[in-house]
Amino acid sequence: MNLELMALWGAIGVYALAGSLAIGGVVLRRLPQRWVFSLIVLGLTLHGVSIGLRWERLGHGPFITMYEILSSNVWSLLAIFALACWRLPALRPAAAIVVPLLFVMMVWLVLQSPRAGHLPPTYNTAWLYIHVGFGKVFLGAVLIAVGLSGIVLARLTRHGAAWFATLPADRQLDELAYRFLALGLIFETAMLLTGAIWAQDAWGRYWAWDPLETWAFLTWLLLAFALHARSTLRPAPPVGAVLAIGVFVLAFLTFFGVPFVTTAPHQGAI
Amino acid sequence: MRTARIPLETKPWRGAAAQLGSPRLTLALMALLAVCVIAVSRDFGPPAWILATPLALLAVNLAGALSTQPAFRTHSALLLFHLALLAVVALAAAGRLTYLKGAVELSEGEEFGGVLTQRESGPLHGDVIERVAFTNLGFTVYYEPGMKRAQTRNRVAFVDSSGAHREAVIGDDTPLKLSGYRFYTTPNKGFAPDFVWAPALGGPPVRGTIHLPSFPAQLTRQEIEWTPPGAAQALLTRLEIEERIVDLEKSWLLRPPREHALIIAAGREHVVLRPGESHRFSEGTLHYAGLRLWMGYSVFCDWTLPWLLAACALAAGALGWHYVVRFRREPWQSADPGPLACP
Repeated sequence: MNLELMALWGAIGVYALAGSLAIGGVVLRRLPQRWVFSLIVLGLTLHGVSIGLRWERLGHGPFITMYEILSSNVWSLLAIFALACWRLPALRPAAAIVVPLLFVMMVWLVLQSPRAGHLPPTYNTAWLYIHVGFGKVFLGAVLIAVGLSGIVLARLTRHGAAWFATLPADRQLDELAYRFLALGLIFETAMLLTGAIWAQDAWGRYWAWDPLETWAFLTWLLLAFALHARSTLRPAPPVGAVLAIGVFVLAFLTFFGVPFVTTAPHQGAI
Repeated sequence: MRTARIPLETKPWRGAAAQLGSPRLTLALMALLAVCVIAVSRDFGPPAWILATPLALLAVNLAGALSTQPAFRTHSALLLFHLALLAVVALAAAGRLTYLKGAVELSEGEEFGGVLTQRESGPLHGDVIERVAFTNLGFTVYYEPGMKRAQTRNRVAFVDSSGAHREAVIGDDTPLKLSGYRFYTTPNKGFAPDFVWAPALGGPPVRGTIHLPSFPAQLTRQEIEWTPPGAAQALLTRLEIEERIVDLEKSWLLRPPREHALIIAAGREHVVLRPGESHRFSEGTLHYAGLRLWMGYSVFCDWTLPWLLAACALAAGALGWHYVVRFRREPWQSADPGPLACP
């Protein structure tokens, strides 16, 4: 096994340990927050080495194959979560929901072949990095909102209420989740804009309602709907939480499902 | 005589505007737009027509909200974001009315004379493409192992807006921009036999190329039927490549094969022509001058592009500004949504 794959497996092991500690800590009500946070940072470092080595070897970023896309997204989503936890320590218990959620992507990642893909000529542009970067921040922001929403929903149960008893009230978690959804809307708007600029030069049109464009717009619309509904209908925190999770599910299916089940030229994901 | 002043809130138009601008109606119209977008994805009809209704209704809803919702008076960034969205919709509609999308194929050395082989355009497109001219000076396309197409570089010559003769290198993602039209190279390209046709009944000889099917996409079907100018009988022309120019294992450069022949069938008559050879058919003499390449270009014209970009950038910037101001004003721990907060 080469260093690239060893670093990746090491990172996945550390992530698994961090997620298990986070879950155990919540259940036992003694959350080793510093350990979880430190393990996530260690995992990100190992994972970053793996991605960097591959980038150096292939001469292009992790944008082409499903392996690369899943790997870079696990890294970016956890990096955004770690950054948010660093700035907002109140978020740290959400690791018990966010990290296990990413286990799904990690399992999917290890099932993928790490073979190299072909870099299409139209990917040789700075817009790729800008477009993908905005997309990753969007998905990361929505993931954090999902972590907070998961806590709000978990508290509907007797066990969940006990596990997350020390956290701020539902209304405040709902407000924080709303703020991350708002951040997501800003970055998804920017992602669609930069994607359109790139598409104009890559395919000679800025928007053509291809499957990925259609579902990315529907995700934007659902996100805008969720934010509007919050100010118009004043839903209870659990309803807001369901909306946030709905946005994440749609975004996940859009970016990790649609490009790989269609034959449209719009391949690859954020 | 004194007239009674009607309070603003009780003016009839205001009530109607408030209903039209209802935030609940916004939610319903967003759901309608989502349904219409799904209908577009299922090919229920032209996107512009399907989306026109919900977008127009959302525009009316927004106009009503702008005139009645106090949030827009107190949050200028929010107002700017929604006005920018309105501008995006208006510009997209204007773009659909005036756009042009088309395609043209040019052999190496051939000049584009303003005629497209395929085109679709909005009803209000002001056609000036007849005045656009450029020459295909030749191109290179590299392939990576496994028949993966890499960069295309196409040299073109044109006259710029100041009347100066210029050359440029364009590609799939680097267009030639002339009079608002953008010309992009495409994967559609191939071989172009160069012929001189001299009619048997006299008249000046005609020189031109025919375009064989796209290469290497149609690697094994390099033939086409065509009729020489003024002739009645069609000639079926097939290219026989007698050397290896495609390599699945290594990188290779697309080029006309040096070792090749054309098999030309006119009825029962079959002729093999190599570069520089001629043959007399019943209706004229065909001289085969050599093999060149042809490139297929996609053409796009939409004057709204820079304005759309500006409106979208303004929308994204205003949205960010709005949330930064709003969230900085109130820490999340003490946040209370209030009676009618803006999104």
